[in-house]
Order: sequence, then structure tokens, then C-alpha cells
Amino acid sequence: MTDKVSLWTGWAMRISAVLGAVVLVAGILLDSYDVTFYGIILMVVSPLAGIAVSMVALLVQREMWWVYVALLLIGIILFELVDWYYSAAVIIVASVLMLADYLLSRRNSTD
Amino acid sequence: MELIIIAALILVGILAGILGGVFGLGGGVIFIPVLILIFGLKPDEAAAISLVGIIAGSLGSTSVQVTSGKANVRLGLLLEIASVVGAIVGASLAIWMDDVFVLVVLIAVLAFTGYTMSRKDRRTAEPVEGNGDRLSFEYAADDGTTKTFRLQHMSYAYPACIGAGIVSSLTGIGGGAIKVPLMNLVMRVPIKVATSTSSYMVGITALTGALVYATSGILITDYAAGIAIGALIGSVMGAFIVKKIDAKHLKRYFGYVLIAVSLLMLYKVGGYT
Repeated sequence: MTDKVSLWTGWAMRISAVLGAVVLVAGILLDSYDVTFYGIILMVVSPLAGIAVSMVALLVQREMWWVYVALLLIGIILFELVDWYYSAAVIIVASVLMLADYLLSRRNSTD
Repeated sequence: MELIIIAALILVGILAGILGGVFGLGGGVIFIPVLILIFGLKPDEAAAISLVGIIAGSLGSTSVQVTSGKANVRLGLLLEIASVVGAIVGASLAIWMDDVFVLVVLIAVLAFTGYTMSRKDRRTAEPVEGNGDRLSFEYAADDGTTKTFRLQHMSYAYPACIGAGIVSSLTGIGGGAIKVPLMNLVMRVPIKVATSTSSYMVGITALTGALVYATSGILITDYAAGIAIGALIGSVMGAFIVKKIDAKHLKRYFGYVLIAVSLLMLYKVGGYT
């Protein structure tokens, strides 16, 4: 049952979580606001790292519609991280690709 | 910050992580009341810290479920598109919304979670067999065979996921209490897949809300660090403990505890007004 997508995603989340925890502990021990803050950011973006790795695994498996789904999700999450127009560009590209893929698959199934 | 406070927060995180692992919760139902009632934080400050704790707990427990294929990554990605939009809206609302209103929503979610956990007769729906299209997925059935299921009623699922995302970010609670029944009863996802996938999704929803709070300067980093470390340790411990004990009866009693906590929070709202 375990495919490449699940396996890679799980490991990406594990590695990212452990890294975040190590930086957090260092931040507390050093009593450093900056180190603690970066540790929290590392921990918080771990699920995003998981999504990015899922997207790569889906790309490797040539499951393009799911690649676009992951890209769309990343685009929406990026809304809080980057200027809105970068996020909007990713969302629009992903949506157009999803729609095109859906229409193509429908045309192929009716042929 | 004093080490004693950080040690206390780590303990809270461990406790929430263990209870979260044993009862299948995100941990927010424990973080939020403790941070508000004991540490005296404002609802939005507590929500920001709780979301970081939920992410840490989710990473500890679900990375194993994802790796083993119990959680369905594709299903999680598809539904999170709506939940994340809701999470952005919810966190933005929480920043300017009155504390009393946030607390009232929180009390309602706590009471609802407590009620669903304390019910003896938990209704579950059987999956509809897949037809090989994009909304059909494979899963390992109880008899050891590989079966398929197809998602139903997607038009209801998306607005509900947006709602779950809003509630999650607004209150700092993971939203699993909404997502699991939604996936199983409405979308007809097998209950075990729904539970595992919900745990995976909760981390992604919380990520968006946590980022909104962090960029707004509401997040108290030392508190969040203590809770996150504790939650990560506790969730790993909870994953081991849940294999050793039968938590069905304990789950009911914990449901009653949550209802009692929601009443305590109601008393707190009286203090605010």
C-alpha cells in the first residue's frame, strides 16, 4: 500500500521536525530569541516541506493532476509568506493546468 | 523567560501530546484551556501557540502514519486546498475580532468535541466502491485485502472544509472533530483512513494559521517553543501508549472532562464581559 509519495512525504516531515526540535532546544538553552524563532519557523514549515516533497514524488510518478493539486495548495499557503502577486501567479498557473488536465482527460474518455 | 515556565509548558505539551495520541486529538483542546485559564493568555495569543503545538504533535504522530500509507496524502492535499483558505480567513478574523466572540466559538467547539467523544454510539458510514477515476482511492481493509473507495458529495465537502479551517485558526484547535465526521459520514471515506488523513491535514491547516499569527507578531516564541518540544515528545509517547491500552472507555471520560472545561471557559467569558 505504501507508495513513493507516502514514503517520501513521511520522511520529509520526520527530518524537518527533528531539525526544528534541535534548533528549538538550542534556542532555549542559549536563551536566544532569534534561534528560538528560527526553530519555530522550521517546525511550522515542516508540513509545507512535506507537501513540496509530495509534489516531487507525484511528478516522478507522472501523476500530473495531483502535481497541480499540490502546486495549488503551495500557492495558497505562500500567500502568507511572499508578496501576494507571486502567490496569485502560482494559484492561477496551477488552476489553469488542473482545468486543462481535467478537460483533456474528459475528451480522451469520450473518444 | 524563567526556565520553570518553559519546563511547565514542556510538561503541558507532553501531556497534550500523549492525550492527543491516545484519543486521536490534535492537542488544541488541551493547549487552549491551559494557556488561557492557567497561564492567563489572551485567546489570540493562546491560539497562536496552540497552532505551533498542533503542528509539532501532528508531525510526531502522523509522519509514521504517512510513511506506512495509513494516511492518504492525495486526499489530504485535495481537501486542504479548502481548509487552508479557511485557515487564512480565520486567523485574519481572530486578529481584529473581539476576544469574547473568539472565546464563545472556542467554548462551542470544546463542548462539541466533548459531546462527540462521550457518545456511546458513534455512527460510521460504509465506503462506496471506487470506479478508477481521480476521486477513487485504494485502502487496506480490515480483512487484509486492498479495496477501493470513491469520494462522495464533494460539493458539500469544500464549504465544510473552509468552515473547519476558519474554526481551527480562529480558536487554535486542530479541527479533527469536524474533519473526521465530514470525511466519513459525508464523503464516505473509510473511518480509519479518515482518522489518519485528518491528523495529517490538521498540521497543514495549523501551519497556515500559525504563519498568519507569526507574521503579525502575536506569537510568544518562548511559550511556543516549550509547547512544541513537549508536544513532539508527547505525540511520540502517545503513539506507543495507544498500542498498549484500550482507550475506548477513557475516551468517554475525557469527553466529559472537555465538557467541564468548556463550562469553566464559559465562566471565563463572564469575567471578560
